[in-house]
Amino acid sequence: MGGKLDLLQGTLDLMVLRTLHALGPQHGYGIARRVEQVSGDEVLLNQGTIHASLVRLEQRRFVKAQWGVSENNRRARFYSLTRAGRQQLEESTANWERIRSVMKRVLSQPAEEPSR
Amino acid sequence: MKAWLHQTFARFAALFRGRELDTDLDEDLATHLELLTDEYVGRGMDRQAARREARLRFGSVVSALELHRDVRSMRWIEILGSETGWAWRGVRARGWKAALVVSLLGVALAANTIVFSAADAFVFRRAPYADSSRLVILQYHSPFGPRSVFHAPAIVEWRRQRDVLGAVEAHTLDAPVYVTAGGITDSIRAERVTSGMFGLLGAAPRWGRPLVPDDARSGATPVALVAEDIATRVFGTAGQAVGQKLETPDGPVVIVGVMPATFRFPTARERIWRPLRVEGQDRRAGYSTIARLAPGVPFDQAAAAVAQRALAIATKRRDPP
Repeated sequence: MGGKLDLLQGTLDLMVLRTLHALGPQHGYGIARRVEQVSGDEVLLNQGTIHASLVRLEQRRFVKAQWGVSENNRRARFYSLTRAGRQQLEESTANWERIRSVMKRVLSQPAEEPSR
Repeated sequence: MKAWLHQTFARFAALFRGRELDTDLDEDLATHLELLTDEYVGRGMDRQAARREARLRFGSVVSALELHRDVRSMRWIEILGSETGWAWRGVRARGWKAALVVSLLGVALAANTIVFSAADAFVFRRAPYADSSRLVILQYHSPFGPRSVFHAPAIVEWRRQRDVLGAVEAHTLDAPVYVTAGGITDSIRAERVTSGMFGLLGAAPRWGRPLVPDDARSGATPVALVAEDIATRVFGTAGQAVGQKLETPDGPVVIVGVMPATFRFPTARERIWRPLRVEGQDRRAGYSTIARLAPGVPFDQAAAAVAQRALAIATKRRDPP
């Protein structure tokens, strides 16, 4: 049903944090690939946008970057979670779960019978 | 709060490390694209096709760079600083020195001219145009950031590069048109397009005729194409709109064709299209361009050729005879 999903504002950062939590240090390609795989190819993601998310997270000190060598022997920045990043991941996840729970309640309310 | 402070400080610090951060990003993006290319090669594609697929999936590299710069730094300070610096230099360099400054600027623009695949841009990735993977946008990097507006002489010259670009068409924003229907007046966005634009996109009016070169001729009856939704709203049925007149800021125009409601160009907001002629225009006006790669020419080959010829074309001052 329907096409791919556009990401909601702010959700990419959370996906990146969760991916780094799951995989450990990764470069931009690895993170983007994992997000696509886990989403079952349902998310519309221009892989280039992942780098903007990474710099934002790095500036907030949620991730740190280190140059390393990729599997094709090229230099790449490898990102990993910091302690602040892990804390942020917990907070964002809890917040997202609350939003999901509220939306589920709102969307599942039954339609009222029209009064006669 | 702490994270916000860290980010603000980092963005300020990035103002002084722009070149270094750009170099790092270039290398990181190149690695990303190579890994993506390797993935497609691993699936059995040849290297060239794999590289093209990788670019499509990555999205526009130019957009990725710009987005990165917007996020990591305080762009308005950067732009203000650059603009002020250039303006000051211009003032100090009046007279023959001004010409020198303009020439240097021209070289700077030309040296950075690039073409990137419209297929990897947001606009065309899902665009309903015929064979959209062969459509490209011509763009260059100026000292103030990416620009995709060209003067008429440069467009005329790009059209001569037939060995790599099969067709080059131009468009520019026009004044809005106010239409009234059912007592409600709406402002409708209009776009000026060269007569070959819709043919290049593989689109044609559902009623009436397309724009032709003569429509843009000086003294020709002013004409326009309108979208089906506008035609229906104003004239009742789309077919009846052909031949009717529409009031525009510069006088009435005759509707010669109605485009299908699903057609959009350059965005979904423009619903009226009027003819544009770039031949014979001077350098005061700028136009956006869309080109179609010449048949059989791979994107990488076209991009390399465009980059190589950019210097001569971007510094072109007037139409040759």
